[in-house]
Amino acid sequence: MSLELVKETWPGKIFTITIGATAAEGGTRARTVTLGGHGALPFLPGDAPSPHPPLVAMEVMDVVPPDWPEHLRAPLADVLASPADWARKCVEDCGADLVCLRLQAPHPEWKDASPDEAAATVRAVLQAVPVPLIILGCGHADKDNEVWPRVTEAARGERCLVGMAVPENYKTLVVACLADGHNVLAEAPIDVNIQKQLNILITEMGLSADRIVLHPGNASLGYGLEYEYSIMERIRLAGLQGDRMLSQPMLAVVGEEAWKAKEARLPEGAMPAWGAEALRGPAWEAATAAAFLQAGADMVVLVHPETAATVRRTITELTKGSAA
Amino acid sequence: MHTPTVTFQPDARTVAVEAGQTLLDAVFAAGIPLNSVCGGRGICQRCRVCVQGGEIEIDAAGRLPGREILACLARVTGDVVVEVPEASRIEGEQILTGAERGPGAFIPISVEAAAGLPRVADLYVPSPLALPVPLELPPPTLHDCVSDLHRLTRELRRQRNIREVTVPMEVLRTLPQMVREAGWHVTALLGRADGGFNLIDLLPGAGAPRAYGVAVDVGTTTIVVHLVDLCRGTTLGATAALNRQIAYGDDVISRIIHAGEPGGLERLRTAALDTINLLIGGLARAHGVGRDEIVAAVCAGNTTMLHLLLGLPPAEIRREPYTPVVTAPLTCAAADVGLRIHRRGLAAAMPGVSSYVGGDITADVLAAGMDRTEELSMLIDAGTNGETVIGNRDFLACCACSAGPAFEGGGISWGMRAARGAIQRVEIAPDGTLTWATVGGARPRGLCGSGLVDLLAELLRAGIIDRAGRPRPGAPRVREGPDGLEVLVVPAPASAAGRDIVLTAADIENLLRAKAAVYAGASLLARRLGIEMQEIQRVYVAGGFGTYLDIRKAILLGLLPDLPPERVTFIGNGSVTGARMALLSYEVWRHAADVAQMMTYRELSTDAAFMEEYVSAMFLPHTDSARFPRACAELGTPQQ
Repeated sequence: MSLELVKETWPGKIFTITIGATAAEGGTRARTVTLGGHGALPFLPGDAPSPHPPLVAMEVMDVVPPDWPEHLRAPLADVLASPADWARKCVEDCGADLVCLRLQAPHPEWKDASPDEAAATVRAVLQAVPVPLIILGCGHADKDNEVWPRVTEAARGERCLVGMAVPENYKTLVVACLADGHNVLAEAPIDVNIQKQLNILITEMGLSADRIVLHPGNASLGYGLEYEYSIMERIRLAGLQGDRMLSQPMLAVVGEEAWKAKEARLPEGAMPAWGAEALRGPAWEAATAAAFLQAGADMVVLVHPETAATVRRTITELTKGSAA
Repeated sequence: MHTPTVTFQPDARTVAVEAGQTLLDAVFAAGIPLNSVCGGRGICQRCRVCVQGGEIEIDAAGRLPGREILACLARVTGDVVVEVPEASRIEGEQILTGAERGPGAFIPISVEAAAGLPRVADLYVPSPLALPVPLELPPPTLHDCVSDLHRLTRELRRQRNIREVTVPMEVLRTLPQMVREAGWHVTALLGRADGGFNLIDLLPGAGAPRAYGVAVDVGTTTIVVHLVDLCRGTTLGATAALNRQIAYGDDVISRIIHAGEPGGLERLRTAALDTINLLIGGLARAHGVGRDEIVAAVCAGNTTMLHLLLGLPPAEIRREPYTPVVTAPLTCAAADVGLRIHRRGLAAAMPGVSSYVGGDITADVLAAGMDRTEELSMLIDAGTNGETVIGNRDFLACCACSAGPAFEGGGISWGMRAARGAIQRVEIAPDGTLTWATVGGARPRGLCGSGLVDLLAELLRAGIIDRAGRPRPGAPRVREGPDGLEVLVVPAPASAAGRDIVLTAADIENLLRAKAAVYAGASLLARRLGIEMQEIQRVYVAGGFGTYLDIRKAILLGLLPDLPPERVTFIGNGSVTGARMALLSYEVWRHAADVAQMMTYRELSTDAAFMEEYVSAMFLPHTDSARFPRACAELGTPQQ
């Protein structure tokens, strides 16, 4: 007796979004990435083809992270002081599909760096790597609104993904991305309705719905993962059911959250029963990433080189046999 | 001891007050329509008056630059003369009769015959809860020497077929002298009681009978009183004031908490009672009706308000499993409640359903006539507590949620009740020109609920605010105010107060929350009943918006479901209308208990989907555009 798999069909389809632009397209990237395009839930190639498997992005900061535990700092120690070197290492050594540049320095409580300095950092990273860029602000609304226009201008034509647009502060970013041809990363606080409202507000400013990537919240294993998982799942289900305002690809910022967990940070000396931190830390990050991939994340942002390798293997295994 | 008096100018009206009472109390007692929206806390700064001379004690916060002081922070210590300037008055309360008929989609809150609502007299036989019965008693003779009481009850039975009359001892004591002095021509004032009547009073003379009643809507934010001629079935006048309990909290929960403090329940009871008594006094004076001629009062209000008015401990209302002391219809002597009408007059409280669906909603249902028709209808009461009822004559289901006082003008910088000078209509022309219409055509003093609905809808349509309700920086009329972005509605030179009338981002947020709560409740109740909105044949909207409500604009905001506007009827203050119907018809009063009994209460606070409905309704008109196809088409928003 042969087992017949139930095939689920959906009326909707997730938007396909390309990040990065080659010289022919007005940018300078050697390669671009494309995400989305799914007609089914993740890793079910039997239901519908998923032409674009999930991607691995790696996070780079323009400040030396002051509070990283030693086992996270060590593998990147030689590049942390230079965003360009850091980005190069992510691409050349770790095989990152994209670089996610977090512009933390402009935050008034960090370095209060000027918009020009931020723009210079962006240009330096663009020159250092051939892959597309995700650019994140510092989260301070007023400062972000000063920085974003300069940064998007510095990267004009490169078709970056710039964020986070949040319900309280999205207008400046959207205008800047419209002017300079970038995509927008839209973040809502783990709420499907607020995510949709934000998407509507952004599209009503003239940015088309297929230029938005969603960031449905921040969580990690043991720290709210279930909430974010279920919201991502609901967003994806709504999109597949045809809700165009929830049909965007999704991104999960994994590294930053996972490495806040004490389970990832504490050395074995402090918690002997937990085992070696050099294994445990990256494992915590990878487990978080794996869950979000199952929930429908199209892109995960990681920090530890070893996690990047693990997650890459996971994606390869999960997409084996699917029509790429 | 000398009782201080307060004389108001230019009205030349003098009232006696107790020493220590505030000028605001005196203003209410004198029936002068002074503006005040904070419940006498010195916050709204609207009760500005000028002392012309006399003894008064004024808090430091009550002294304003110039000659003006705040009436609520001034205590009377001796005789005083006070001028109430024109700018501080709310003239011609529109909550009154609402007889004006507006153009187009505007529907008047006509008390007597709001569009689509039948007259009480057409539905029920007039049979007021209290009535005067003139009698000519045959004087006693040796052949007819029954007792005076027997004579009275016998003649009531013989002449009017009135049986089972209970006579109070107080009346009995004065009976023999009174009937003889009146030459056996008397008028019996009778109040309805279960299975019979109570003799409220016996008056000399059998001439044209006079008897009046009051219908009272005890709202969390606003109290409305109608003075009704029980003999003719007409409303002589109506008036409204802010419920003085507001000084102890804006919503029912904070009032219940306050009631639990030492002396709290009594303070709240007195505050509501004072408000009602002052309103009754003002109306009676204005219409030449004596207090003792008012022989019945029907009060409708949410369960908490009725508990507080009756001095019943409300604590369990807010504790799981939310059990009120009473929801059944109650009647007693007015003096037992403290209502200053005839002391033995009939005081009645409309029956409610549960802790959070009270007698006001029973009254709404009666006013709308939902319980009498076959068509599936929905009632939305957008009061401080937002309630929804869905059903017809076969079933009624209801729910409640906390909406806040925004649509009554509460918690809004320039919000006010629908009184003279309240902006009730707003239009924004394609060129950005904003025009307004005020109640009574006066210079604008603020915005009432219907004006707020209009304004928000027009701002949305003109793109001045976005669909999350945020003012767009750089849009016309949008500017940075002291508390963030604000929209200029009326510039200072055109306003009554000589200050800019604005709508702030925080005001919009409050309105959005209120509309989201109301819609979420309605939508979730329909969902739990397995009813699609499109199946609803008629929607009745009640609430203190004002004289009018532009249905199309209320739909555009997502306050009301997106049904064809002709299916929606605005019934205004259904609570006071229903109370008035009961006052005029014993049949309605008895039927009210059946209606309350028939309503099934659905608790939303334990329904996990409520928060979801609420958040998705926190958008204009709604996050799910598919639910608002007409509104989105009007806004030019593509369907998602």
